[in-house]
Amino acid sequence: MNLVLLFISAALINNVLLSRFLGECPFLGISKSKDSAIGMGLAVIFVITLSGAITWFLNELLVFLGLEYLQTIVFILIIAVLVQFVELFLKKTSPSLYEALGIYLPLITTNCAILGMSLLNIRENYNFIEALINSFGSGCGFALALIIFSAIREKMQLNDVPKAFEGTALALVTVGLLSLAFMGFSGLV
Amino acid sequence: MKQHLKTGLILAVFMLASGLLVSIVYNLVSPYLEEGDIANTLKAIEEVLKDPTSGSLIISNVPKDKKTLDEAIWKENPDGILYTSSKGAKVYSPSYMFKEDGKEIYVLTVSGLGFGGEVKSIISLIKESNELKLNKIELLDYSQETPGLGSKIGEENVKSRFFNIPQTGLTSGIRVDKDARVNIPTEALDSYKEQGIVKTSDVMTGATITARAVADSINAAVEFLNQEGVLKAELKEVLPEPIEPQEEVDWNVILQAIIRILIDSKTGEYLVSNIPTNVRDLESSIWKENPDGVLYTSSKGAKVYSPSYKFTEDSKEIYILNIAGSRGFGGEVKSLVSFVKENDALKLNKIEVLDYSQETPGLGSKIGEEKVKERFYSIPLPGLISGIKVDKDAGVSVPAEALDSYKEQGIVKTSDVMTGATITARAVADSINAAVEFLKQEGVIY
Amino acid sequence: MADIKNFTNGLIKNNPTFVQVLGICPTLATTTSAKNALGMGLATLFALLLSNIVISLIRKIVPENVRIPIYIVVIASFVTVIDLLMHGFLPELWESLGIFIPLIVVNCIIMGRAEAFASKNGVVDSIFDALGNGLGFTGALFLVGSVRELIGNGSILGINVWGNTFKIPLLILAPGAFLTLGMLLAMFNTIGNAKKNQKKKAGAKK
Repeated sequence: MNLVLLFISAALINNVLLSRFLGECPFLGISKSKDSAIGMGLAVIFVITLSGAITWFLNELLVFLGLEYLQTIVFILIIAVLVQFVELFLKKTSPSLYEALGIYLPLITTNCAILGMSLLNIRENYNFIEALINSFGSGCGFALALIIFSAIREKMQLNDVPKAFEGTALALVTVGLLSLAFMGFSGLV
Repeated sequence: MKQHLKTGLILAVFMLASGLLVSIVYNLVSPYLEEGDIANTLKAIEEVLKDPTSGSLIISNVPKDKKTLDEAIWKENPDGILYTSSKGAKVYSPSYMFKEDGKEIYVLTVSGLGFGGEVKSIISLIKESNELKLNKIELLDYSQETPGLGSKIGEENVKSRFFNIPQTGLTSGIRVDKDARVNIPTEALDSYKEQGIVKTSDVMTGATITARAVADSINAAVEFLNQEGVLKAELKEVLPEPIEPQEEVDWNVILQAIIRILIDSKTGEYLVSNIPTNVRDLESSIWKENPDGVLYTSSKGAKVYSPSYKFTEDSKEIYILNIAGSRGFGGEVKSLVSFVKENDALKLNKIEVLDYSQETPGLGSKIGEEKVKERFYSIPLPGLISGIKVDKDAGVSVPAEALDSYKEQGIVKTSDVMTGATITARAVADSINAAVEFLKQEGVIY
Repeated sequence: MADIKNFTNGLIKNNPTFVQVLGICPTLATTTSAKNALGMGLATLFALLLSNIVISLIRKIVPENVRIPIYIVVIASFVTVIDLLMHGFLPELWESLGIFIPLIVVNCIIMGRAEAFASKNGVVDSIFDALGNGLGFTGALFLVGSVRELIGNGSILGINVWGNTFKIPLLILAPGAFLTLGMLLAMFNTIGNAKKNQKKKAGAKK
């Protein structure tokens, strides 16, 4: 039951994009079309869960060695390597999946949601299962917000907006309203 | 090849250099890190030793370093935890006590479960002429709370809502109001505090969970002080608001149910010769009762209601308990359960579910069917002791002969007869566990 | 005076936040108060300055194919150093900025400046570039933080301005971050557009 709550809280209430402010750059960059939003969303779910699991074990190792202060350096390198590895692996084993997600993978290294969730898992003292659920939930939340937003943005492109708001400014205001809507979930848990 | 080697070497050199740099800085900074933590604690303790209205210190010799602080230690525990409440709020070791002018000042480190993790705070309680009051509270760690929402708990105007709570408020259990953003006149705050109600909604909108965590942690502190004999008071159960009205009890239904569970689950014969035939007969068999209506509450919120009954026949003792398990949502699942104690061995005989009206029809409501109920029948002592659990595998049919060996382990299989209603079955299991814990507490089993 | 141009370029003309729209995560997350915003801005400024210096110094010995991992290592170690120092000496600020200090590592501004400027230019130019961009970022954060704190809480840097008389707490909440940044962006767009128009007019007159 607690794990279900954790998932809901990670995906909806503490949505990485709309309430934790992680991963905004790819969010604003990639959300112009729904198809690429879906691709990016799936890629993030995949990588964030994988890196959540790996960094959890890695942290156990660092704690064991008494080197917790190297956390940031080790995590970011591992994530960079992991993304490369996933890219190669997909290319070899599943070309169709690679085609769908491939171009988004390199962008993920600089997605702070990945590193952010890895660090948060450690800071909140989650056990392995909780860390996994939390990461997966956050990934799902990211994908959800991204896809909803891209759908809104596709519609918005046809609208006539004041010149000053063209581009990112309007996008930010829209996300603000979306975030306001997501705040309604906060009574859930 | 050579080129690769060179590249690899350069990469390795950079890694080493950066690792070295970071470790040097870490070793230089680490004493400050620890000192910072102690300094934070000392600062927080000094803060809570101030009078909230005047702002002046209530004791003359405030500890300024770790040594003088250690001298004020009151209770400690190598585990690091002195008390855990039923809501998961904790009192951490060590706790401190200061004495001055007939006043005893207790300083406790407490935590409650907040939004993203623990909300830790230091609180001071003053005991003066046998009256305890909460003096001040200082938040230590609330970094996991939502910035701008839950994190507001650290702000003075929010914290101060928890200051100066008198004993009447503390013993009735602190709870946080839920009304959203109503402006509350300041003079009303004190009278709310006397009832144990802390109003935060106007200063901290939408962050009930964080405020509730703080309330839980204060309650844990009061429960701990009561346990240690500092406060000799009857603590009230913190009731979720609004308090649900007690339903009328239909004694006939209960009597019928009791008669049914007095039948031996194996042989089908009555366990006792003088079966109660009316309510008065029942009254003469009352074993334990409590004017509050509740005999025992387990950590999972399952309850043993008053009264409980005991029948004696030959060498057998038969206990009948009124139990209820919390469903999480949709209220309670109430049942009557009978235990038979013979030759020091206790077993669960039968269970009769009384109120499952709030369960989902066709799903949870199946708990009333005989073939589901009988899965809980005849659970032997080893199963009871290990705690009853309900399995989760969906809809697998379980061979009848395996059911008994599962019962030995305390596992009750219901998934094949009651698919998709684990919560209801678990509520029943929780309530049985509460009954076993209650019997253990009363010395019926060891 | 190429040096000064490098400085002002990052500070105003190509302001990382308002013009390039980079480093949005910390801009949104740490601007709940002007103080937090300032702390975050300065932490980023130092990380940017140190990494720009080192990357510019080592630009000739770093092999092309592993430059990204090396940059990451350099940036990550400086960020860790800043993280440790803040934990030791500014524990309160460190606590309230939370994971956003280690996340400076993935701030696109730092990696962007390393890749686009420090790896191609000398140390002095890189320092000016870092100062310009860092201060530009800090200034932007401070502006967003001040607006949010002023309208959301009636104060700036904890100093009461108009107190309780006018408050929209929504601005301190998550949606407020997006709304404030969106509005400020629109404002700077208007100013930018007006300047462009002026230049056009001036050009037309000539």
